[in-house]
Amino acid sequence: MDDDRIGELLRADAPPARDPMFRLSVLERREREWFRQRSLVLLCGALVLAVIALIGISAGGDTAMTTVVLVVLAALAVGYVLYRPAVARLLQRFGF
Amino acid sequence: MEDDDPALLAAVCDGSERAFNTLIDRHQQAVRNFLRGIAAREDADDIAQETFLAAWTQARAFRGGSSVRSWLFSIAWRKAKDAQRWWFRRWRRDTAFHDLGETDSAEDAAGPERAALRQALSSLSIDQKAAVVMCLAHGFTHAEAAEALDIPLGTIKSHVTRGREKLREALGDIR
Repeated sequence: MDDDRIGELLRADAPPARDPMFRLSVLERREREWFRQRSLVLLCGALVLAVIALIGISAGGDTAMTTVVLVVLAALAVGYVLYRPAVARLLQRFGF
Repeated sequence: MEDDDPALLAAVCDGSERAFNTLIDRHQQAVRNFLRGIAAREDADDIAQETFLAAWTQARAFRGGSSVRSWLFSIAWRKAKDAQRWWFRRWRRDTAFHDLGETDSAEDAAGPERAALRQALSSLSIDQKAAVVMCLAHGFTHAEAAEALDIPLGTIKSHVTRGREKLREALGDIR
């Protein structure tokens, strides 16, 4: 038996050349992965902000100022998470 | 058609959804067929999906020294090796035993040659399977397979020779 016939038999098990369902599965999986990562980052961010707030308030800081700082930090964190690819490209453009 | 693969990958780097879809459509059949040859059938598509996800996130790592298909095969190969070590997949494979039995009997009916080939493939080590499938089914040269699988060239040559002999023996028996 020659190599061509063996190759033919090995390829006989191949999936169809066009398989939109497979592509959709990959895209769906990517969305799930993104969602998981974003949730994780947001959760970590919320935890960090809560810790900063606790430290700020327990150190006798101004509650209004602490709130403003936290809102700004939260906005930056959310912006980064939502626009991470664009931020990464921007940073790369400036050589970081 | 695959001449513009590097340009396609560059577009994937820039976040082009269309390019990513084209990349999947163009290479899914080869990658999945390769994985079906070296991994358990029920794991193959799962690993193939992980392969394309890795291609999306690591597109910048492509250096252009090899073809995009070869690069995708090397990712698939690493994923398959990782999967082989993962106990959970083994457990899933065990639970899928009944489905596998049905598939095998369906294959037996479809073609004794294919059934004998699968049987012979299962007797090879994963390295041998990968070398045989890449070189005999997908037309990779020994050097290309060696680079993609990160295995020395001499080892690839002996894997292909021994694997081919085993497959010929198995297929010769049913003639």
